[in-house]
Amino acid sequence: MLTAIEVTARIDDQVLLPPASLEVAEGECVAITGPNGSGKTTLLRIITGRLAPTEGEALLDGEPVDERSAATRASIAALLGVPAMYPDLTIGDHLELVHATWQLEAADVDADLDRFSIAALRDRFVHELSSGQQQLFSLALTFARPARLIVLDEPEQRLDAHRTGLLAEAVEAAVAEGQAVVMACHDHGLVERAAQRRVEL
Amino acid sequence: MRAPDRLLRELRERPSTSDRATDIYIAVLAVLVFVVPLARWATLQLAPAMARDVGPVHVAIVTAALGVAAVGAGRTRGPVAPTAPYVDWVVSGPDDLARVLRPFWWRSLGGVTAVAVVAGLVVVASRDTWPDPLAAVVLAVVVLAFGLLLAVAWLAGQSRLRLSALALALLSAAAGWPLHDAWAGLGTQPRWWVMVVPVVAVVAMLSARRMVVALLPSRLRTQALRWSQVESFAITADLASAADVLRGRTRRGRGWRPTFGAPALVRRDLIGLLRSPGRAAAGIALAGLSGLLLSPAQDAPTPIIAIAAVALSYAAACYLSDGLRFSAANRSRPPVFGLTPARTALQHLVVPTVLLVVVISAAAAVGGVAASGCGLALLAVACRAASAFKGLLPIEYLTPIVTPVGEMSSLRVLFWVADAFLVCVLVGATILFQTDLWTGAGLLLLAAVLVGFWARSRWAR
Repeated sequence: MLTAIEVTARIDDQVLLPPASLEVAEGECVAITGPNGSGKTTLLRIITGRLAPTEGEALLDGEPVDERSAATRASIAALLGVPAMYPDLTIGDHLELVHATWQLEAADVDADLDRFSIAALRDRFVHELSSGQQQLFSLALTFARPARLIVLDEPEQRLDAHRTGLLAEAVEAAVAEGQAVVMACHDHGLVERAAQRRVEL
Repeated sequence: MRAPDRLLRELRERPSTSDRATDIYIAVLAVLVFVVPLARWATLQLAPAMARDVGPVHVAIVTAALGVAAVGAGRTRGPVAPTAPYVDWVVSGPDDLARVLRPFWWRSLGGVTAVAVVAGLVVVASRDTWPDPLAAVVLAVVVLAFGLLLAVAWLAGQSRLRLSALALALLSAAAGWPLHDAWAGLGTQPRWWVMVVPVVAVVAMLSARRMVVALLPSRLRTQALRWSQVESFAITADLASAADVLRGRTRRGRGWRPTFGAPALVRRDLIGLLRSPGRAAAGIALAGLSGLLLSPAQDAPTPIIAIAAVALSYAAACYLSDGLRFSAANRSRPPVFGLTPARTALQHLVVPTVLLVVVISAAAAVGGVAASGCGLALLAVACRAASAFKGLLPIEYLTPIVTPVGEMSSLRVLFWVADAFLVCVLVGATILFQTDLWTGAGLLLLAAVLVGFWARSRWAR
């Protein structure tokens, strides 16, 4: 479903991403690994259509990926940094808003929260979360919306071992349902457990 | 230990002579470039209004608003405003709190007093006849004392002493009567009872030390850090982020899950407003005041009331469009919600548009100018949207523009930041002041549509 062919990113003579290729099929989890500065996040920005490659091309179902395209926005759920969160809504309100705007009538907020063991935070505002809780909530938001491809940038950051295990379970469940997952990751345990393939940059 | 010692010494040190000279030079330039022309313009605008009958109640409304604003401002940034390192290294040390914080209090007090003196000069210069000299001195003393009262009210707001703050806000309102009488005495002879204001101001000043000592260092540090962030965002003209820093934290209504039939983001905006009753009340009050001013604005001999009415409507739009601002500021992030950017923007426009149209029109209807109120509300919302959708400051705007009269890039940044507000004020006030009711309403509507297209073009970029 997603193909990136020899994509690169450069600003003047500065190389942000050397040529890289990637192919992801439905029901597959691909981990992108590599040292800091190797271009993992840049590659994720290219395959989500948020950055045009300097060379090469990124295709979703054979069409160029473009964040302005409705098809791209509907197909890809991305966690690149902190997602937009309203300061006057609680955690539960945000998930209800996700369900309402995607018209997911059968969806359950409690189930979304339980997936990352944050049900107790339902009535908290975003500014009342610790950084680890905020990461869990960001993951809950990303997994709550419908998508064919989930893109995660270092999803394990600020998580303890137990919560990293929950993240692995969420990825495995998404893959089992036929969703594709691409994640840039530094946690070898998570990669070993959740990813079918690994691309080293 | 030498490095901390040196840091402490530097933090405590008085500014050098060259620093002081630079400060004085900048202050003189600011007075010549901004204060004098503005004061001159205000004098010309106030002159015809002075010929009309301004009652003590009118003055009391203005002084009460100033008192409340001073208390409110103190909660966000008080007159005692040290830097965060100063709080960490000096205020948190063993020294007497009153002694280490006194310089900041005196500095702010001097600033407020200077502003009061300039305001008093503008008002006196607006008269078309020479005042009685003794009455002029009395007015100057009363205005100066009122400035002191406001400064103490500002400090009371910062120190969160509720009773003191309430008392000072009430005293500010009550000061409207003596201020009016001191003004009225200029044409005849001084009225000595007005000297009660300086007496009250001196008593209030005596409580300042208690208020300074009541300041919590942790709160001073929070204010310092917050303002440092605001300054950083302001330098890059990122006012949306600056507003986010200043915005109060939502704490109410967390368990409230209303279900009512409305599009998802319209419901969100209503919930957001109900959870921030202070913002909602401020927005509605500003909108109501703007509507009430529309009728006098159209009959007034000066455009200053029309300018105030339009500025208030724009401020009300800012208070009531939190959802729009937040959504516009975060539109570059990956989408979580299942709406297109266009539907997101349109849904976020519903609540501020409906509220402003209803409140401003209803208030304007009191003076029989509801149509103008409706037009102004739509113009204010359109300008607010144009401002929210403008995005981040283009980096090339920071490159220097060297002209024979100096470097002008900051002026360009200033215009970029305030463009929608300036359009709102210039277009809105001109139409309100120059045209009759129905022509004005039609032109305001037309202006709102044109600004709406402008906002849309910015959003589409």
